[in-house]
Amino acid sequence: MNTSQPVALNLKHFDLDQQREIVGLIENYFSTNNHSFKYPYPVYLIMDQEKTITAMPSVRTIEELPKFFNQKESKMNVKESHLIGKNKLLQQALKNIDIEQIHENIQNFSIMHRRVYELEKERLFYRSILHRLVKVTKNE
Amino acid sequence: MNKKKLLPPEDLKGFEEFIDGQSSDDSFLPRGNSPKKYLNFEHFTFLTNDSDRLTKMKDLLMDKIPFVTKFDQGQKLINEQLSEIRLLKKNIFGICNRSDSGYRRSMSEIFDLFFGSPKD
Repeated sequence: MNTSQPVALNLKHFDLDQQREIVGLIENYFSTNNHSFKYPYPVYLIMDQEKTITAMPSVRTIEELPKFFNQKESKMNVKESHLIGKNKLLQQALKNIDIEQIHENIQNFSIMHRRVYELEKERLFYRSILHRLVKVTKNE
Repeated sequence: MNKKKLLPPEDLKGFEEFIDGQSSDDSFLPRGNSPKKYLNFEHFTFLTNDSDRLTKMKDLLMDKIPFVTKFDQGQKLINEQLSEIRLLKKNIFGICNRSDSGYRRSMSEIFDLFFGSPKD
């Protein structure tokens, strides 16, 4: 769905309760089919619900969508056709990646780095204490 | 505009088309339409940016993340940090545990203040 262009799903025509249900169905679609709503192009939801109900990016009005979504149509020249061809190849390459595996790797990487950051903070704290203690001991 | 008025019309004979800036003769090529050119440039820039974005994303997802996962340095860093933290704690405790250390003196002052010194 979002392999060659950004997608925005407009849920504004539904009631608030229905919007919530549909968001759940859309999320299920992506998780069961091992598709990503982030790569290569994001899938946006246009709805009245709060952003916190879903991990998918959402906006309240069409005008709030990123500039990427508002492009004018025109006839392409040779250079542009060449670029489009290159982009299609890249999109195809991105389509073949294992999204679940990538997500897991990013998750593990972030957890590891958070731990490194916390330990580094602790190490610097003890180091500053030790420096002050050594300074005081020398002065006595 | 003023020059045109100042010069006599017979001196400008043959140059009227150049002064007006646009030839009415069909053999002249038409002037480029600047808004259209701008629009084309805009699309080309958009496509170039999209291409850069996709290339970066491909590098990240297909090269960098698998590489980082394969040769993960995180656990080694954590082990080194833990060993250094242990060493720092040991040194701090060693300094504080001396009989003449500032920590002990402060603690004895506090205790003496609340419970009275041993001499009393």
